[in-house]
Amino acid sequence: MIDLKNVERSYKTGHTETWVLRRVGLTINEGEFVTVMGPSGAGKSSLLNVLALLDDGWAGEYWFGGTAVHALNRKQRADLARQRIGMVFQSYHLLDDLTVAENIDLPLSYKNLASKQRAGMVADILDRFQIVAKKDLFPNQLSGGQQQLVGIARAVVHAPSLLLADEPTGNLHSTQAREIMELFRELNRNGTTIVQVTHSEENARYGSRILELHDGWLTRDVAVDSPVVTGAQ
Amino acid sequence: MGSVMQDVRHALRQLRRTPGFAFTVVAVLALGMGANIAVFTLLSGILLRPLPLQKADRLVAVELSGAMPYYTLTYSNMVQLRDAAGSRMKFGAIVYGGPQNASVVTPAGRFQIEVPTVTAGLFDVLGVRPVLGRSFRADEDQPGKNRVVLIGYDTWQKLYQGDPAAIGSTLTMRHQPYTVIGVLPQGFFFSYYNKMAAWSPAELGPNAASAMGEKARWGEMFARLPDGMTAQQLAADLSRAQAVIAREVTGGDELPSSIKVTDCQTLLNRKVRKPLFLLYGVVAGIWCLACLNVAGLMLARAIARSREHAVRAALGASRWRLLQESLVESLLLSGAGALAGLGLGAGALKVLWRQIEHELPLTNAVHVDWRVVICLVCLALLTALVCGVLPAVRAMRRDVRDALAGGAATQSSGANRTREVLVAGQLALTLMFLVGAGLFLRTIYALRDVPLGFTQQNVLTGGIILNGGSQLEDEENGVDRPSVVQNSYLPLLERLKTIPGVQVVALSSVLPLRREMSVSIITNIDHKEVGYSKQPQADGRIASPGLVEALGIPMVRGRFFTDEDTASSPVVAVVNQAFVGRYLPGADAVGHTLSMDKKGRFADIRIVGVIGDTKQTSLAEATKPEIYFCLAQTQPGTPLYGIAAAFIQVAMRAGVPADALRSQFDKALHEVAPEATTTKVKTIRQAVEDSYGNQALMARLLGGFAGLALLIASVGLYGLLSFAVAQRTREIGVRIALGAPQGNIVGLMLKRAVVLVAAGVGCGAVLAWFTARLAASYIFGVRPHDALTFTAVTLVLSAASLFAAWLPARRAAAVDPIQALRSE
Repeated sequence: MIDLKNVERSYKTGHTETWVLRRVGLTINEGEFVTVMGPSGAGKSSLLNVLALLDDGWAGEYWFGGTAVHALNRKQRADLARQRIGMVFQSYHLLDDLTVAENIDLPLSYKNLASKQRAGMVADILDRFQIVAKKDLFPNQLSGGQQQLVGIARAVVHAPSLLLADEPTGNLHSTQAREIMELFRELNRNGTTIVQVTHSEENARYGSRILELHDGWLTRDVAVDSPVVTGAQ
Repeated sequence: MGSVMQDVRHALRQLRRTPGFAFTVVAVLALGMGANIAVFTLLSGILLRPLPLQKADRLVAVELSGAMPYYTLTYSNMVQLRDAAGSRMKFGAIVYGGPQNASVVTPAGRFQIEVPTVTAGLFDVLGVRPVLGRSFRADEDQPGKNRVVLIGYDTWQKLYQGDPAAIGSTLTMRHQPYTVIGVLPQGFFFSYYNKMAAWSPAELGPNAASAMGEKARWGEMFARLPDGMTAQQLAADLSRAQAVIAREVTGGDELPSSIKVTDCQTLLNRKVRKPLFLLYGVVAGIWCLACLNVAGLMLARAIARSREHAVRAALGASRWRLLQESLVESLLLSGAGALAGLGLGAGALKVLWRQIEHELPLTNAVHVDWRVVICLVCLALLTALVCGVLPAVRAMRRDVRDALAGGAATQSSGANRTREVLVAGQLALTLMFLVGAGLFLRTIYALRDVPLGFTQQNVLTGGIILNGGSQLEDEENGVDRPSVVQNSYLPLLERLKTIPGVQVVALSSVLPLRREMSVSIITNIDHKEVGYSKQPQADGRIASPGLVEALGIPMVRGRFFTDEDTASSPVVAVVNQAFVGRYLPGADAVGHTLSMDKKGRFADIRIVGVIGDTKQTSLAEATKPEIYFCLAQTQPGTPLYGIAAAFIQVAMRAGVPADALRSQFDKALHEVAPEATTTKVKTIRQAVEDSYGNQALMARLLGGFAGLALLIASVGLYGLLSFAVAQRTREIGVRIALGAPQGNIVGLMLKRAVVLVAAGVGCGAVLAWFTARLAASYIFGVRPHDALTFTAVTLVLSAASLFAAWLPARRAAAVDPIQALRSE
């Protein structure tokens, strides 16, 4: 599904050039649940931004399901991201002025969908995530776990084939974190490819593969040896 | 469309959640657009709206081309031009002769109305048909047939409550019965006559058509251009004819030989075109200022909403969609500002209406119409674009990583610089307005310092119209009416003297700085025959004894009129210093003679005194020559009797405040002349204030606008620094925690403000230097680049701005470091 060849990213500060990704080569197959780990400043978030098509300043080759992303212009990349990718943030990034339902509707409103169809999709996802009762609440009326639940619902409402999550449980306590990770695993089982960035070994065990980055270099790429079994925790 | 509605809903919700921001933006835009709409309403009514006449653009005024007082055509000259132009051209005229107003009594009460007298064909030329009844017949301006009247719609409503039975009824004006033959359309007005008018045919017999010299009838001539003919072609044709007429009639020396043709609208509004456009420039500047301020506010809001825009972009919002969201909010705010501005503009016009009506022509056409609405819509759209473009461009940025990671600070530093430029722009515009206001204020002070030549202490003045018949009509009709001077004016003088507190009373056809009456007379001195155009010209005035005492005018030589000057004593006159300076320089004027007639008493008028110069119609103009004639000697049949009979003014000097005499004056007048009406009864001090005219209006408007600009710019600077303090709270906390004293923090915050104020004031001074030249022809007693004005307004602006900056700086110094660091 994803093929990176010699992807590099650097930032210039005055006369100094700081490299955050060095010659990254990587293949992620459809249906995988990949965890990206590494110390702070290793380039995890930079890799995620490249995968999410939020960053344009990288060099190398990026193939997404047969599409040469490196050959696309900015608008084509945005269109691709809009159709195929969902994003979950550590700080949820729900919009304070929108209700739960409106927040979930947001990515749909940026597509050419009829409002009836959008309402149906939002209703389905509210039902699926069991948050129908909260649909008219505003983000500040929800707990952190509930807010992240809404964030994930928003990320998957348009059924993306790739779900990217940057420290999705970073602001949650352990019980909420487990619930969120269970949800990710269920989404993965239903066919969504997931790439998450985390510091948590525990969370990594929900996935099938771990990538490790150090100073921008991809230093380790291994399968998870002791995955979490549902109901075991 | 659905997405737009969604954005509208979201924008409304966000504005509801930030009522302070919404209110501030709407209020600032309302002020900016309201001022614009108020002035555009004036501009539209006075300059753009066609006169309420059929094909108004084909209607032209025909005037003599030359120096004053020759603009006005005689009726005989009009007839000659009409004959020369041939039958394909339609001409009409307003013909002067006798009072142009009357007091009428109907079952609804007594009303003062204007009664312009016209040629029978004028309404045909104007293309106006009565909505009720008929128009004048072609022969109804002939003697014996002209006792008919067309009344205006408002006159019909007031006098007859809109009763159709008014047609055929008799309306008595100046003791003469007139038959009401028609009602003119609603909203009709023409020339300087307002809607409360009744139009009657002038009496234009063969005598009038050939009368020359003193017997001539004067008027304003209008024509309708035939299809295919331009105003220039008509002017050329009529000038050729006029050259012949001038040669034949006067030997080529006395009458101008060329004709000027001006479209009617331009004729009526030409004096106010430049001031109105200048005023529009001022309010356009106010609008710019409001836009700069709101753009700054919206940019600050966009910075605060960086994360939201980044999230939207990360979730798939296209650039266009982000732009749309931003513009929708901007449009909503500007729409609300436009609506509030419309109300403010209409309110401002209402408040200033008395002054506007007094100073501007064509005010009947001033109201909110489709042009104003279109202007408002365009202004609202432009405002939305101007104010919304910067935040919209910012929202469109696709580089969302930093914003999502909370690193918007570096991005916002660029936006803050933009806001600083916007604030400096506001300060620059404000300085320009302050300079304008300062120049006009100094003009008013300079005008107040102008020597008037008369006293302002406790003098009440007022115009009196007796509403009797006119001398002209009486002569034409062979009516031998008793003298109004003997029967009304002199008894009135005696009665007014008995009012307690009154020290001296005088009557005069013209009083200083009252513009109701102006008579220009041509005379000769010591019977010296000179060409018509070289004869001495002066303002003619008729006065009773006591005028110089009532107004405190100094006698320079000889004496003023006394009770010894009677209808049977030798005719005497008094002139002013300006007359002596121009026509008798270096000589003693007393003893010289003036001639107003070839023979008779007025052929030999002896100058008995010279009075000091007084300001006449404008404080800014030099005094013109004046000749005063004695009221008691102005009897029926004498050259100026018609003027005296039509209108006289009273000046009463008292030992008590002049305002207290109003009711006593009305009572005394009613006792002596029950049918008389008064015009503009006011103290002489009020007349002086009113004479400031355009300058006072401009000073008031510019003063208001400058105050507004100062407030807006100060709030802009305050907002910018408050925002900077909020952004730098952590940094300030760290500095305080590390031991920075309060003064250091205040200095840190004020440093930027000082740079901004310096930049704004510098740019503003350059801007004001160039724009002040535009005001040069409207100011008096002060130079456009007056150093004192520039220095004073710079100090005022700097002080106000630094005060506005000091408030947030002081708040920064009071930041609690523990709180600030914890919040991060």
